[in-house]
Amino acid sequence: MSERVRVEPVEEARILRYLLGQLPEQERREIQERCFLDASYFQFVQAVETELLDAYVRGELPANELDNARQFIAGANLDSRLQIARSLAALIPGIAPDESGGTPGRTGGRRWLVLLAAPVAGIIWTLFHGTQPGEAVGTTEDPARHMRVEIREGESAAIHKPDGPAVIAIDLLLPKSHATPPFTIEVRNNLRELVWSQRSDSRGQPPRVTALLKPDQLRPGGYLIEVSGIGATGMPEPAWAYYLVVE
Amino acid sequence: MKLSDPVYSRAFPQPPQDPDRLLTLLHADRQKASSRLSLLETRLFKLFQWERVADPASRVQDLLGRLRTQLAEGREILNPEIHCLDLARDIVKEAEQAAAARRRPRSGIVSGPAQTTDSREDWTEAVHRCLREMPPPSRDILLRYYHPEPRTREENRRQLARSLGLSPEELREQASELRERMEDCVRKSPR
Repeated sequence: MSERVRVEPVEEARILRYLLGQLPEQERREIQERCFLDASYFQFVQAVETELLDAYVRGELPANELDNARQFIAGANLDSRLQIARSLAALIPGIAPDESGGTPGRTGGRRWLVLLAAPVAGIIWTLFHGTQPGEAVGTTEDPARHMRVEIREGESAAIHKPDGPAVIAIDLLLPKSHATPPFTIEVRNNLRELVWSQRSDSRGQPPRVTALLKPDQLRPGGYLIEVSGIGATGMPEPAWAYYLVVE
Repeated sequence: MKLSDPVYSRAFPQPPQDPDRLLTLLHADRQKASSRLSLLETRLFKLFQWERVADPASRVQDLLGRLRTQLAEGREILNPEIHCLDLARDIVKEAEQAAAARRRPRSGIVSGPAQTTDSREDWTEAVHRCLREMPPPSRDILLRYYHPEPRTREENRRQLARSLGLSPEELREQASELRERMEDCVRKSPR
């Protein structure tokens, strides 16, 4: 067996999309190759498959992924695994497995919503360590329907897209660093397309930069927000990452 | 014309297939070669599943048959895993083309998971039996790691990683292996 390689968190979302048949050909081939060359990675893909089955059985998957999950389970002939997952879920009294495997919205569904909406690094790692998405620091919505959310570096937050005119203020808490202003904020969608960018000074304690977006600039889905500053050499510092899911 | 017809055999002579040649390709030591072959078969099986190719077990045998034929023909293979992956992709493509020709998805199933003939009670009983047969520490890890209630599950995972001195990745790998072992036991159980 090869030496255990830490699987980058971004991979879990990518593997999920592979299993659900949502990856382009080139990325599918990359995953296939890694499975054949790296025993640890292969084991990881199997683990993701198991947890996907469990989530399906327990009704933890978001509604829009249920059909994909059903097709995956049927197409991959995972009937026996599905039965075992149901039986295992039934072992704990009071938690009845979902007969159809198809009712979304139970507790825990949020994890899968984030995972499937935002194939970006960090989210899964955060979730694995128990931080609930959307609880990164806090979300508030004021009477003028301006939404404000704070996110720590490397963590994620989920928001409901507000209806009508409003501003979404995203406070990005900066980690301790030698980087100095101006800071560049870039918001990218899950295809890595730049949605919005801005230069900003930091403010407040703890120091933060704020991205002010209009709701029509964000569609439901996952977003990667990167912030970079100026390093000691005068060159841009590597970007810090934040994750936002718009529901 | 059937493949077994003597006329066919004369027209398309098949090279003799030597199973030992495949093992030799994988490792000089027979035992290590066998375990590498077993790993390769598992990966191929899962790849066919993930690519939604019907009847993955027989596709694996088909692939190994092709590989043996190539070896018998003197084909030089530098990296067996990558070579098998290439062969697997050919088989996936053939399955896709065959399915397209029949104008239906290659798995033949799209509406939802097929129902097995065994009842829920049969499966549950088998799961119970296999869990009972597991060493208690392994059973404890498995049940806590895969606890159905999300908050308890996350807390269990943190505690397990701490108490076992494992990183989350190591714990996940260990739990996944235990789960596989349990599922193998269930599949082999009489129901």
